[in-house]
Amino acid sequence: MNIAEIEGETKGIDVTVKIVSLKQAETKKSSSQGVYYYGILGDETGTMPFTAWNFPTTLRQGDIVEIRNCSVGKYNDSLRIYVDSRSEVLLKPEAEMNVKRVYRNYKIKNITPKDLYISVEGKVSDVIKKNYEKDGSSREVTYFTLSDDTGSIRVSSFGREIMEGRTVKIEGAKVSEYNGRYRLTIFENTPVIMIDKAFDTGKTYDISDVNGPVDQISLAGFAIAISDRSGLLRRCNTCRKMLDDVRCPDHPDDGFFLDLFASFILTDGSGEMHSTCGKAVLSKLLSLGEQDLDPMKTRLTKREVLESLKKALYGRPFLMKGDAVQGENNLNYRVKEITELDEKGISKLLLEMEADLA
Amino acid sequence: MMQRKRETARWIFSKELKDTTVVEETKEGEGRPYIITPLGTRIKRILLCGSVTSRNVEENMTRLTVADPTGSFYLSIFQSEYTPEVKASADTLENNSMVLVYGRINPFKTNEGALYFSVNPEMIIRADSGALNYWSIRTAHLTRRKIYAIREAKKNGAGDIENLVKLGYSRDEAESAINSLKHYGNYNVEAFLEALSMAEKSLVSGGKNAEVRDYILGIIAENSSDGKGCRYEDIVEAASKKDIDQSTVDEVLNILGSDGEIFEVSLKRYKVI
Ligand SMILES: [Zn+2]
Repeated sequence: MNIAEIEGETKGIDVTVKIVSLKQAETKKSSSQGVYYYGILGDETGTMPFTAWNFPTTLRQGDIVEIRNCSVGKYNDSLRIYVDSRSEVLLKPEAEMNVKRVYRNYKIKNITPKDLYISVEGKVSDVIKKNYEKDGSSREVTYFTLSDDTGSIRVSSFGREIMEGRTVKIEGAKVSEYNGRYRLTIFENTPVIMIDKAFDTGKTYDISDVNGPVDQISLAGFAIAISDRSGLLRRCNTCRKMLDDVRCPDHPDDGFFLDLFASFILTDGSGEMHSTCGKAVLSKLLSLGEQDLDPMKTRLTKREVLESLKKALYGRPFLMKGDAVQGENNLNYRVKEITELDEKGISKLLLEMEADLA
Repeated sequence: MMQRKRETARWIFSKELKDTTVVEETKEGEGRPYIITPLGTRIKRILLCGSVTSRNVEENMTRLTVADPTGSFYLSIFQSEYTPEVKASADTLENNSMVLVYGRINPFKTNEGALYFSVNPEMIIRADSGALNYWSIRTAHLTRRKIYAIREAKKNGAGDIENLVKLGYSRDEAESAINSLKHYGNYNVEAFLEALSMAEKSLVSGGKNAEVRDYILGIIAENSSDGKGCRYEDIVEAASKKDIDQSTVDEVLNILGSDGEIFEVSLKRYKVI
């Protein structure tokens, strides 16, 4: 049986497959101490994860094997091959096989590291190239942002040229988590296909739809519960740490600069999101200039800034754009743009909501 | 850092709160109970928006009535050592002030056994008509989705959560639909949809709904002191002076009637309750 032919849970099947990846783990059950294996099996038609309770210990990644009398079950919503003591595993040392990799397609907003390799489409922007040293030679890594109609994600490309402004489909990008954000990594041999597709960016999402980290997502709602830590703050000129006082304990002579910060909860009726924003957004919102943030010239007090922040944010609907980042306890929305929703903005949202009901 | 788990504030119309009859049992020390609304929303906390239609300020407690497009919320704000600003901001409000409020729902039973709900605000913010407009449109949308999910669940007999999720409803909406069927099998969701459409119509006419409603309520109150009730013709005539057309009057009378704010004493004669 080919992997592509497996359509649902079944028992007693035989497959000839290549071991695409192989990992070992210890069984947690106290009754039967031992190890089991898991990973991915593949043939010319596709791939499937597997779990083997019983597996020859000398098998290696890349080996081709015939597995007789294995079963297929469901785990975490996806099909999986199970090998147990009733199965028989035979090594095929002479055989050759080109495994067809099939990756699940993801919208950027829905990417999770549950699938290690995925397929994704989007438009390339913010391309930056950097050099790094490896094995004594200089190599190039390209960083870029990939955006579809649901959000954006940063991608690191090792050894693959990427053109600014192109729309691409990437097959087999590797998903990882870094600093509370999801990232993709692609390599020299990762297929990147030019496609002709326009993405309608800027759809406003329900907070309840945002289940994991994603960059550049639009949300709308009211700001409530502005934290009293918000407003004007002092930061050390050297380490940028927030100061309770006029001096940094570690750099007492280095002075400080003034910064703006806000922490609040965004509510849209579908859920709530811890949100923060910084100087770029707040100086615009509060119409503060460089003078106001100059520690020598400013006449502003912490209390005044907090009060005017509350006045500006409370009781008005806003459209926001920013990055959802995984924090210790919850997602944190780092807001990069804030616009008050006027009648036109509300009508536009209403149309989006109605389309969602159709 | 404030990192304790917040109880999410839901956005619901006053009608959904008013029609609620289910309060979950709590064990001792568990604090306030969850209530389950007819549309299956399981909540402790609410975010509401509307305009103040009546106020009663006393030293220890301020009571406010806040009207949304489907009826009224009743707010009780106690003098508190920890959050004195809440009562202070409530006391500065006037009739027709627009407010955005989040707070805890407080169920209470009268001696006769009737169940009522008041809201104990944790925050009262002055809002503008844009805020009321947005809140109402958004709440109407969320309410409509809940009703559609209930309809769908009814179609499938008892309905199940996975099925509804597959149809595009959020897990929350699916759970609400199942809750609604479980606790309010006979609730008239179609009538709720009608109330929603009416509320939206009044919103489209410029978000002036609350003012119109108060104005008409005022006319009825002024002209029904003789006990016979205010005549329909008098309401229409008085309304026309404020450029309120007859069909709007009919709509508002319907809403006021279904909210229990007025009743029809005899044919086409109304009295404030
Ligand atoms: Zn420092």
